[in-house]
Amino acid sequence: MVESMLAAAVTRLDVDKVLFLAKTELENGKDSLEIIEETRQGMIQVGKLYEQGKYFLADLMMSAEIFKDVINLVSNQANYIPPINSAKTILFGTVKNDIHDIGKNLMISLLRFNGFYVVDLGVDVAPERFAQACLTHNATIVCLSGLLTQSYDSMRITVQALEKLGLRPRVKVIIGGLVNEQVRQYTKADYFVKECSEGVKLCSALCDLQKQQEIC
Amino acid sequence: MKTIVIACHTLKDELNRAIRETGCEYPVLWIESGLHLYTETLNKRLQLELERISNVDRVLLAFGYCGNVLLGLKSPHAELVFPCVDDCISLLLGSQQARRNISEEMGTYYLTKGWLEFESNIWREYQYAVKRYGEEKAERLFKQILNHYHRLAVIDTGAYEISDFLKLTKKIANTLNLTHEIIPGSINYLKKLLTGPWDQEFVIIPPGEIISLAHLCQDQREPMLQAIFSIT
Repeated sequence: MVESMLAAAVTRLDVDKVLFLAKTELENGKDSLEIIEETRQGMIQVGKLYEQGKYFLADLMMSAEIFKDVINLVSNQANYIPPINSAKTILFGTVKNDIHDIGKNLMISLLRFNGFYVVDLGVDVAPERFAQACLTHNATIVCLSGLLTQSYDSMRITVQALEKLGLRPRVKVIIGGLVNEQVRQYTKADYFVKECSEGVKLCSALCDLQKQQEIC
Repeated sequence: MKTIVIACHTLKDELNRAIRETGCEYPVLWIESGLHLYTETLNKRLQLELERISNVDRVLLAFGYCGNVLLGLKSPHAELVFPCVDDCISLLLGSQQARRNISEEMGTYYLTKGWLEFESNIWREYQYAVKRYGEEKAERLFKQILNHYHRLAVIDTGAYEISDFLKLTKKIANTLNLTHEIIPGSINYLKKLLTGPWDQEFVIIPPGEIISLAHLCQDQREPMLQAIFSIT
């Protein structure tokens, strides 16, 4: 796939160029979702450069800022119609004993932009708080974020807390952060995601599935 | 039993002191620092080293889990022993519980001499950010990065004189708007890794067995679990 100019500018972390291109393309009638998608592609490249040791943490944060700026730019357009993805609630939080929230915040921005209603419980969230909030908000998707190894136990215990309140059959649990299939199995979550946009796609698919099940 | 230690270079001062104090002069294979951010690379590197080692009955791994770096490792012929800790911070504070207690007080960023010298740390990150984005933007970015951190803790493990770098750590704390504190550490965990006994603070993996998350995590010992069962 040929990288768009917008994606390339995001990869270079050239914020002025990104905003100029996004604005020009919007004025030329380009679809806002396409602009967001190209920005996201650039962010993926930034992530890869970070993994290769070519970019630093500040660069990752910068790409997240650029992404939020583009979302704001798109959302503030007079003709912008926000997508309505679901009336369902997504519960989100960084699990107990962990305070890392960069990925969480980014994914929440992306979810909200895509029309989801998200309740952000913050960081260091106790399992029982997740469970109670799930009841209160009638959430059907719970996203657990964490970067430390001890987060895996917190995620696992949070899933047990949902089970304890009888919520598990109607709730899908997604874990994110430093996770993989083994972590998913250990925590007994339903899904794991390593990248924000992958998480948004998953939430969309789950909401569609839940709607279909309600109709049936 | 013929034993070798594979150790993270970041722990060099502390491990060398533990070796001197215990007299356990096993050969040590040092793995260079700086791989912590690239956990998959470090994981592959460790597996490669385990496969290269022969004529040894036991490998002591002076590593924490550090983002799953130990996950999936296997030694074909030797037993593996490693501390049951999230990362080397718990190892240098003396226990997992000590780290948890300190972290519960407030969000804490930990530093040792090894981390300052050998690893990609928050200070190097900040200096890069200032160079690339200028001071004002770097400050804004780091406000987000360190959003929930309030303290910079220098761990005094007793393995070296910390006064040599306190001026720098105070400058780091001041610049990043964190309080500065010296927290007593310990090399006892490392000494116990060398000498045994390997009680519940350690994981022992027989030859040929793969390290899984069940070896690394320990929710049965978590007080949190009891809290869950009291939910009505």
